[in-house]
Amino acid sequence: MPIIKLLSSDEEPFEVDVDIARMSITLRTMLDDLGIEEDDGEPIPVQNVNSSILRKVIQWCTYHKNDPPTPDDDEQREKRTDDIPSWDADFLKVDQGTLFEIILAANYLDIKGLLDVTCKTVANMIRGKTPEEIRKTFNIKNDFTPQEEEQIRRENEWCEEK
Amino acid sequence: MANDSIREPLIIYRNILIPLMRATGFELDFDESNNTRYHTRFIWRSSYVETDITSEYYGQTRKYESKVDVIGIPMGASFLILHGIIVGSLADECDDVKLKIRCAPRTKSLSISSNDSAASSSSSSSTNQRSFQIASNNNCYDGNSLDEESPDNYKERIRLQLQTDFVYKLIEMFSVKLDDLPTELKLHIMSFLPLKTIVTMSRVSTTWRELSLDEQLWRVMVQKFFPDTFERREKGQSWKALFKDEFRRKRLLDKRRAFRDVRNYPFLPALPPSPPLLPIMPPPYMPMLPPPPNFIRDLIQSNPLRSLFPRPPSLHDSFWDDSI
Repeated sequence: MPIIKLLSSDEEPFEVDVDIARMSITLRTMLDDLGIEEDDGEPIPVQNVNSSILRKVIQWCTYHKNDPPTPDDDEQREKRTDDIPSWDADFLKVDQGTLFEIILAANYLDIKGLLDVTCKTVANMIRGKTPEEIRKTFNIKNDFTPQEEEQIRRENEWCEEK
Repeated sequence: MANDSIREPLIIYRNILIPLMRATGFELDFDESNNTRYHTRFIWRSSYVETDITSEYYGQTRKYESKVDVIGIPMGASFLILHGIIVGSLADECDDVKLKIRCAPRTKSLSISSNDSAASSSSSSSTNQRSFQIASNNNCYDGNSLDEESPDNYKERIRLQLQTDFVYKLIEMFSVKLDDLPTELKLHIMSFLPLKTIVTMSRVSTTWRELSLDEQLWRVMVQKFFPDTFERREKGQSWKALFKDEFRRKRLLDKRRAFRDVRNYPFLPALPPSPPLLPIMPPPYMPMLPPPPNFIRDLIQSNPLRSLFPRPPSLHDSFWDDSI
């Protein structure tokens, strides 16, 4: 199996299978454009992703390397959130900061499967909470005036159950 | 105090931070120091760290100020946390500790005050600015109090508390938060939420309210719940308005369907009972009517009236479901 070298933003080298690296559309395009088939000594820099996050991303890609490819088209993907595989659920039991950094990395590297599963995890953290609980969970400041809150409540009446 | 010089911020600074910078390949570019001020700049490739710390006495109180500029270094956060620990360790020595951090593109400032009676931990956030204030939970130690703790223990406890709070706040400031994600990723997360939660999110903050009004999001919502309408949408029509209309229409249909089901119900009691089954039913079920035989159920299924009024497709099951 041909191997290539990746370099995280804090300059830690990683050796990965080409097939695993190609799960990232960003890296696949880069490899195709540069015509790289295997390790030619020059590591590929992965800016914006530090070593601890890159290690997680590679771990996820290695586990999911045999998955069928995710449809490219956004529209075709199921918008369900209760289909997170148990391995992924365990894998994503990390602190919020790390989870959001994985989301940013998956977005930058363009790995649809990882991006979806992480965003679903965040969506599940939001579901079933009151606005105040959401603010507390995600450290969000309530910047509404009481008048605005009242206005939003009225705007949302159309979907209240009657 | 005998160990005063060891706790002196500038000495700690010189002994811990500077060797750390050197060990990670930074070079000292600029150094201007005297007893009350320490100003340095380290450079490594296009990255740099510039620090300026001063400690001054104003009569009885002592002020300590620190400004840090960190541009483009990967270990920036760990550097700042270490810096925070050093500054935090001074909390009981100083009456006021201010730390100003500029770590592009965000500016953060953090201040510790050991004399502050207010147990406030306020955070104000404008576009790019966050500031925190950490204060000890109690007033200054009162020497005449009959508290069981000795003054030294008390001071030490407060110092540790402040230091821990300080480091936690720093880590919190530098970890990525939900609100730090770019808009398209926030919308991507929203697109996985059921309608009820999207409406809840619009009440969280102005940022999320704007996101909950986003047309792209409602486009996905229409496609998810009303795929037929999605194909038929007129050009220029607002996706949210379309969703609202469809939602109201669907709800009305659901109500009508419920009404029709009630109207159909009188057919059931007219069904002939099935006496042969009764004796073999176990006692608890005796008072209940046995289920009608299969052929009658088939008959109801093929009720000619029903085919005249086909059941409208029901809403997606996950529409209101918020349990998962």
